[in-house]
Amino acid sequence: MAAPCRKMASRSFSRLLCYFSSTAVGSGACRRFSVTPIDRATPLGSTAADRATSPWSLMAAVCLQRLPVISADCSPIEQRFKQMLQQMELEKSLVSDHELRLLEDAEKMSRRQAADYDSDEEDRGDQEIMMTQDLEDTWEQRLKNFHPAPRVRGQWRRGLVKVRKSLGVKSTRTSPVSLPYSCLADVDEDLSSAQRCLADSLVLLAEQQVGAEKLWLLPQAAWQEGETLRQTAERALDSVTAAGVKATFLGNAPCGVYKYKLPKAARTEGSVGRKVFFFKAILADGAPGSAPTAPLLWVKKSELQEYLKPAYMTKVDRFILNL
Amino acid sequence: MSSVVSRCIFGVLSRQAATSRLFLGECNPAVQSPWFSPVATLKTSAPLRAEPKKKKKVDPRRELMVRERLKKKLKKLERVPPEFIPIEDFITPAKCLDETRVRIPPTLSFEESESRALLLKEWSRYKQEQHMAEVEAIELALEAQKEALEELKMESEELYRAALTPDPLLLPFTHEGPAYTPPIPNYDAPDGKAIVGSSQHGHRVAAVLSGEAVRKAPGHRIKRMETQQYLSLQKKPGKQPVALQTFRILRLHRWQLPTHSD
Repeated sequence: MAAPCRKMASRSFSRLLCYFSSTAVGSGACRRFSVTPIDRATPLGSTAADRATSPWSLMAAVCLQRLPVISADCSPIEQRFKQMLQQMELEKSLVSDHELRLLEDAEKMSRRQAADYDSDEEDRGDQEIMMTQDLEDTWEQRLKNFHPAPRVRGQWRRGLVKVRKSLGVKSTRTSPVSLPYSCLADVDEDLSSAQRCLADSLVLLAEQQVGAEKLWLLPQAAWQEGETLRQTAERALDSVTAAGVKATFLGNAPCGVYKYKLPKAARTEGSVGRKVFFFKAILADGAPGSAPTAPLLWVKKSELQEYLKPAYMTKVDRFILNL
Repeated sequence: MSSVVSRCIFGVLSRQAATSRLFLGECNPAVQSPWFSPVATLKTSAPLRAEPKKKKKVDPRRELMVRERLKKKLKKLERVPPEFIPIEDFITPAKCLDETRVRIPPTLSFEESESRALLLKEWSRYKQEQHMAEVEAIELALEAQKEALEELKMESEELYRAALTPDPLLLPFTHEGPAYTPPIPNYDAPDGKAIVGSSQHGHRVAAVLSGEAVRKAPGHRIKRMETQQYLSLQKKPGKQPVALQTFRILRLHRWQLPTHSD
């Protein structure tokens, strides 16, 4: 009596679950997700019993993000507001030492140029020889002597090319940063480089074999006995990237899940579908040593749609923050 | 009571001393030197008089009295609440109150003030939208995590418990945030100069400058040193500067020009 009741209860419960998940994903968009309920034994129990009865095989994936390296450009309203704020602050401020000095110097100059100027009147005891304007010039010179790395890549190279073509001579500007030509241009368009789009945060995608086909997705690996899911995610990252890549995993808890059912042909006794748990990691500073083992892509959140499957995309979109 | 007794004893002593002085007469000043002891005094010095040495009793008492008086004074001083060290930043320097530095506020035209007001409103709307979008994004992420944990719980209790354990190695986590320009590869930053001083109240004040002239505030003592020396000072325990005021750090770091509006 109790057993059939429990079965019916679990069936209706799983139906309810499927209904909820199907509404969340979108009925027409999912390719592999079917609505048939799954008959399960009691959810509580030891790991061995759990894993034995559960039809889902576990996988862990890593969502590795390269955070922005430079500050983003201001949007038009931000630009206007910034200017207005600077103007208002200038109006409310007091006159600084430097400005006072400039005013004094201007006065002195005007006095000197006046007709009735007597240089003996002026007390020249301990006056500085350096005029304020000269000071400003030295400061500007020091700033110019320093060459920061270019913020906007590609344009510098194009500018150089134009100069070289027009003059027909080597450009005299020597920069302390000697980057090869190919590195400057199209860095933003080179999807496999981690140095593209320095103002945005990028996510790592790898092309992996899933079932019969190759798909672009967050690097994942199957869970093995005796390890936690986070260790599985770390293994997935190591298998896909080069050895020198350092990433900090943010905690032991997964940030998202994507579950799908295998096509009927691939289903076995033990696994009807797969659950992929995502873990977040942040790419630490450092140049990767060797080339990666699998084809990799660094994409912005807006570009994710072109590479990921729709059902997968909706789940992954939620925890990738573009803040 | 003990003070009264001691005072009586003192009185007795002084009277005895007075009487002995009368006997010694004019030779009194010479009595103190051990090399010269006139015959007259020998007869009247304390050991010959066979008087018991009362100094021994009174001296410890006298010392005790002195100590007690000092302790009372200390207690009185301690009862007074300690004076607070003034926070230098909260005191408006006299330079700012100078009248010659006041700027004449310009008169704004009607259009200008209107445009400013409208821009402020637009800005507040823009910021509000930004904030709501952020809050929404965070809520979505939290929901996704909750769902993931529920699914994991359904799968296996042990893995769920492992996921809930906090990671002790994660914090403290630091990440150098976005600067205005990207880092120059293999850049060797030149060192600046460090100036370590001590303020009137005894705590240390340090400033790291690039070698520009430093004006010494009254009551401060300054000591110039190289940046490396200053950094090594910081690592020693017990020699930490209490208040650190870093002015413009012109030490050119590989992350150039921190994000600022210009």
